[in-house]
Amino acid sequence: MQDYTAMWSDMWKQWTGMQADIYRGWMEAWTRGMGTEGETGEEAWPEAKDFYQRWLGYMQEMVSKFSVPTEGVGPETFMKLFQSADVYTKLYSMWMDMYESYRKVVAEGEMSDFDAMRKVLDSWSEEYRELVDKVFAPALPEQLRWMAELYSGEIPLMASGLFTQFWAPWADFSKKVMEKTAGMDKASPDAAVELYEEWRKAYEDSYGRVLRAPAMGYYREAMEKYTHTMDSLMEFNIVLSEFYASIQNTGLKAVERLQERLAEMQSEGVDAPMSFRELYRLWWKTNEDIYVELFRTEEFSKLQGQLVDKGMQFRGDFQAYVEEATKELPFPNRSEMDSLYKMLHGLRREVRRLSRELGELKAQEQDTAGEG
Amino acid sequence: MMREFMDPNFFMQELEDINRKLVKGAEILSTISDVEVEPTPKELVFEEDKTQLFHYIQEEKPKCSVPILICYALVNRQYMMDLQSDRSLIRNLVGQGLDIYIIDWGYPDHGDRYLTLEDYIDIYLDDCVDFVRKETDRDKINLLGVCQGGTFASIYTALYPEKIRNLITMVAPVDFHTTDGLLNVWSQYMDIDNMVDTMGIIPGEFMNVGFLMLKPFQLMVDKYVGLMDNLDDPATVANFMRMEKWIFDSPAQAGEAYRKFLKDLYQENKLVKNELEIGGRKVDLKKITMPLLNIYATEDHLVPPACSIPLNDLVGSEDKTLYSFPGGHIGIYVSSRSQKELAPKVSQWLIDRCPPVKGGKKASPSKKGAATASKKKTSSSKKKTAKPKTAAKGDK
Repeated sequence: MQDYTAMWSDMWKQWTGMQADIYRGWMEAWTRGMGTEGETGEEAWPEAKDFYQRWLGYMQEMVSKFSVPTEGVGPETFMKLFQSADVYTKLYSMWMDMYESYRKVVAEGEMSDFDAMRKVLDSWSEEYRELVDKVFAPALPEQLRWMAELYSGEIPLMASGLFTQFWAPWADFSKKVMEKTAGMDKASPDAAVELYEEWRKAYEDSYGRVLRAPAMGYYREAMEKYTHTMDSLMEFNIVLSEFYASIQNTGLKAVERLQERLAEMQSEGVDAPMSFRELYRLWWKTNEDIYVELFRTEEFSKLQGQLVDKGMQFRGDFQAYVEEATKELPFPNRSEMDSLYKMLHGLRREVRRLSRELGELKAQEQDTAGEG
Repeated sequence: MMREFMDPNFFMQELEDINRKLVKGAEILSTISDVEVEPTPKELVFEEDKTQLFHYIQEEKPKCSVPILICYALVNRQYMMDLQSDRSLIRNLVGQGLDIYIIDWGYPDHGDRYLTLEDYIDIYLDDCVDFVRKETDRDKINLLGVCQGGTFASIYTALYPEKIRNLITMVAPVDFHTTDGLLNVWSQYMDIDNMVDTMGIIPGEFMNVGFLMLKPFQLMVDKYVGLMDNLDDPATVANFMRMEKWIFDSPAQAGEAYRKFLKDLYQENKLVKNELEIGGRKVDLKKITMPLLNIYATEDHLVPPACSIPLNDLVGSEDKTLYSFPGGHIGIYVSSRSQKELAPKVSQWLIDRCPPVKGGKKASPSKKGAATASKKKTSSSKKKTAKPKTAAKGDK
């Protein structure tokens, strides 16, 4: 039985803690905003313009922490609203950076087309990738919600123990990675996939071999299931990284396409966005189109299929391990309950069939009696 | 002052406006505690396991003497058809003089993982049909299937044509091998056995992810940005909340039924190939010979027209109507156009194919002793009148 008093106490602590954070942030900002003698407001408090953004962040965090599980209404809608507002304002902020840069180069007479923006694009590509992640946030974390539960439970403890034990072989791998990434664009999603590939090789040469080796001793069954779980978690992470890379790459392609369209609009002088709302509409529709293009490809469909498959593999292995590790405890596990459910389903159908037969026999009997 | 291309001054002003609306809207949202759905009065008349059959209370003499049974999908909830008074296809149809029953499949849990398509079609749906037949003293009734429920209704009618007078399908997938719909494409690459074997029942949240991914920017960002524009209007916010409640009110899918639906239909397209079997009986759509009204939505991204249209060529009916509704999968139930055009179309189509109403018989329920074959009939004296549902927590 859940200890509701403790739950309430935790919630209350979180609430007061967050309120204190907000208050502290506000007071610090205010103190700095007052500045010292001779300072302008901008000099004293350069991050003042981010204050609203910070308030948004606090609101999101607060709502998410106090959100109840029922989906679609209440705090969850609230949170989605704030997330969307965040996407909207972040897009605005990035766009203004780009616009400012564009305006400067145009003013200096260097370039007068949208190529000028490419430099800025590179500078905030990582930020843009985060924005794309935020767009997909309401879906992807849900899809992986059960995964997150596992990450926050026993698995991280097991994993940390294992990683500590087998750390040595990875020192060599890290060195190689350092060398390899020295001249690489670290923010690139493709680079992340390459990194994972390297990591996978190292894994196969070290943990993979160890984990797949037959276990021995009293705890052999559980140990084997545990190692399978770790193995399938690694496999899942590799596909997940490819999946995210695919999503993020497409986001950057969408920005390029948006740039092209804006350049066309500017040069042709038609349909150009005259308000941020129009620009925003063009942005999301361009993104929608390009993502649907991606989703229609066989490659993406296969990747998504693999992601689900690997996720299921991990979940299945984890379930098997938990059942093995807890088999002596005085409660039934999922497999045992499934066995009962199957039997119950069969019995229900049998009872239904027999009841019908009985009804028909009774009806026949009454008919016969009536004739007699 | 003229605006220039991407004028930052105006951009800043707009951003300020939207932030102001957001703060104001947050205040309004925090005052909305719940929203009501399913406003049309109805009563529970029959239940079996988690399946419940409701009858809408009809105060007027029906214009069509044959009752209509609505078979909704297992995905999401049937109250999409009765979301709110001014956007209720059900209320509209009742108002047009139809006597309506509707199936609520309930929320499957782990104990239902072994429910099969046969259970849904040969048992639950068949028992509901039998109940309505007996309750209204009719050999044949009208059957209206919605979305996946339309697929069920088509399969059922092919198996039990003697019980159905008229068949109506709405945005129902029949031909699954089209590349127009992303769900059709993605499903080809899913290992369904692995999913069902691992999860047992397929969680509603899992299904929702797939639906959201169909239009990620529209459904996950723009919808909420659009809400900000209207946050100062409590009525609009309440409408939004009702729809939001429905979208995420997603029952899990019973594992074995899901397995067969996905593998036999989405992946192998057995229904149109005449290869589908339910309980060892082949489903031959040519056995559907009664009048058919097949309704599809031109902008449907979940069940594209190419999935629904072929039904008319696959059935054996001579009297068959294909009706194209200009809108999407959801708009077909809640748009004002639907209320103005679709409901009258459906009711008129049925009335034209109904025997004349005799005497002053009301379609109101509570006739005694009508149903006897049903397993667990809710007796007339104990019939429960369902109140409008709210979005209160623990609704499931």
